[in-house]
Amino acid sequence: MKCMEIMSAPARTVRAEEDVLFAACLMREHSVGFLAVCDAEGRLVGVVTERDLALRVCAENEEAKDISISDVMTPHAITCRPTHSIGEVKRQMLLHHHSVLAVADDDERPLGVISLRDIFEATAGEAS
Amino acid sequence: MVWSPPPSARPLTIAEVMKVAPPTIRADAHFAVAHALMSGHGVRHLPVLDEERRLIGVLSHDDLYTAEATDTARAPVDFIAAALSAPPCAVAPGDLVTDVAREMSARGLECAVVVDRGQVVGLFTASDSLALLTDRAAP
Repeated sequence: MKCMEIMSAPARTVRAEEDVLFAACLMREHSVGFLAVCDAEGRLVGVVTERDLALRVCAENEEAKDISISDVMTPHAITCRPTHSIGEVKRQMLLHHHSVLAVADDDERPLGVISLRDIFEATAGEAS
Repeated sequence: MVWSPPPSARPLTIAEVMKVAPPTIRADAHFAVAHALMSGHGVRHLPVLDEERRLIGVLSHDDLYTAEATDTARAPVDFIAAALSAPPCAVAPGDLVTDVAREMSARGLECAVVVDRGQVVGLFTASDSLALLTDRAAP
């Protein structure tokens, strides 16, 4: 089974220069906790989670509109390709201690998102 | 309007924003029980209790899926305790949201468990924090 068969697509993305409040609203609108962060050319430059956004604002008591995504994102995120096997994706997740990865093409343009949960649910039937 | 309250505003306590009486699980519970509890209650974190109902950890859905992926779940009796990844962030109902968020952020944790007189009374997660942020910003 390949990554493209079970990933969530399209990837929800945000530009690195957008502010935290914009990204937080985007996450709630789409009920996701993970966004791919892109540059002006649409290439992946990082990822950001709801924890990165909300806890930073609550903890520092900063104004969400004054913090840019580039300040809170995880840069140089690990990605996988849509053609990777889910076994390989799972190996990468466990190796890097990530439960979610962005799926990108060879130009690092995000195509989707895959989670350990997606893999668990896709392979649950095989295990039984 | 943005998240930060005006200087004169009273700071929020965790008791005002936590999920009250979250589902909990015993450390010796079966793997499938954790799955059923999480899906049944629509939650991603379960406070883990010992036989005297004292907090000993938090089981996240990521812990569950990671354990499944690494076959830890094949030993179901030991599973819950084996899958606990970090000491829990236990806070009091009167603690300030800012202080709790700061500790969660510093420790890289997704949730804090609210404990009162030794008993779990609530849960505060990064998702709750996100909701707080966007709700405060709503016109």
